[in-house]
Amino acid sequence: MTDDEKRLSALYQSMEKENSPDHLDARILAMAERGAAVHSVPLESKDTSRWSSWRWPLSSVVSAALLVGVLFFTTSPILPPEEQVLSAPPRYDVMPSAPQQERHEYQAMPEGKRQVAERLELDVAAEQAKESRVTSKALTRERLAEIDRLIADGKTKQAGDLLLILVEEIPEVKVRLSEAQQTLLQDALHRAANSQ
Amino acid sequence: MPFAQPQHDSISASTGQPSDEQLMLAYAGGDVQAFRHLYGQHKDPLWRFFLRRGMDAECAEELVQEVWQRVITSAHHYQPFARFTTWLYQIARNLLADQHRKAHRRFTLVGTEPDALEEPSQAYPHSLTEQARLASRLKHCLGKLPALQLDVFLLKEEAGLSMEQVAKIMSCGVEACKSRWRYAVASLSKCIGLGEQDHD
Repeated sequence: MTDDEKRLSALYQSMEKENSPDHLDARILAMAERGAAVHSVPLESKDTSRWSSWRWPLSSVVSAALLVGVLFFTTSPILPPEEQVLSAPPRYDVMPSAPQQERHEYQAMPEGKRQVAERLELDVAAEQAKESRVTSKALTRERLAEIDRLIADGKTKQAGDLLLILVEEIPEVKVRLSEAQQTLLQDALHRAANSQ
Repeated sequence: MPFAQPQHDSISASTGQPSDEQLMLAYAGGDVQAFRHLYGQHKDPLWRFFLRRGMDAECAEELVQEVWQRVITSAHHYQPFARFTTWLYQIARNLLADQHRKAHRRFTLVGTEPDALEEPSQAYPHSLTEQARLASRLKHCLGKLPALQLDVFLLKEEAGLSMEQVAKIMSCGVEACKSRWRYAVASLSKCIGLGEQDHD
């Protein structure tokens, strides 16, 4: 600040200080009192301006989260990319290859489709069990034929041992044995008992 | 009518008194006493601001009342983003501009060159003390200043604002305000005859 500025400032401050007239003060204060009655907002609520300023962003985030949640539970599940490939399009005629995939697919199915899928699964399982039984019978027949060939070749001891093993594995095969096979079985059992 | 003495925000902060902004928020919450305190601090400088800007008492009353009415009606959504004083004098200055526009008077808001102030007059009574004579002369010379220079001078000296705050109120750069301040000081010094006194 230069000398002139300082002197001018001091001179200005030494000037006569006119004050606002009293009637004007009274008028303005009366106006302020009327205004205060209108100001119904308490001071505490003005202090919550931080909440006010974050209200809309927070509401948007919560709404978005709710929307995502609703979509997650009502439509297709959100799966990792590899599982999405396995599960899409849905194939209800094939048994799920893994428990995880099975659970996800079943969660995604409507009730009616889920019942159909369960029935299909039961049918497939029954078919597989039937196939297994057929395969087992064929194998038993083959083993009995082998025993017959050994008997025909005079290898009775070897045939008796094989028959003994077969009967131990599949006891119900006894009812299907021929007379020669039953005789051979009696001999093999005798031999086994004597050897013990 | 008892009122608080004029007090600037920086001072009030150091003395632990509520700042103007806090008083305004308190009034917004319904505290009339806070408004009385706030009004007491600013009423006389604001009154003199209008008088020094060439308003007669009647016109100054209208403008002062209008300024405070705007403060009161804006209180419920007041947010202390800037200093209360800055806001108060922005309102005052806007009203002045409106007033000049309404009156179809020449308003030198865009004036750049300082008007030539008349030479120091010897017509003042010798009975006055030298200080009083100079103060009286200063009052006369203020009326001769261009509006923009006068605004800068009054906002700084009467309202006690910093040059940055003055710049904000006048919507101009700080350097432009400083330049106007220097012109005003030079013109007033010459008008009053401060330089001549030094030579005597």
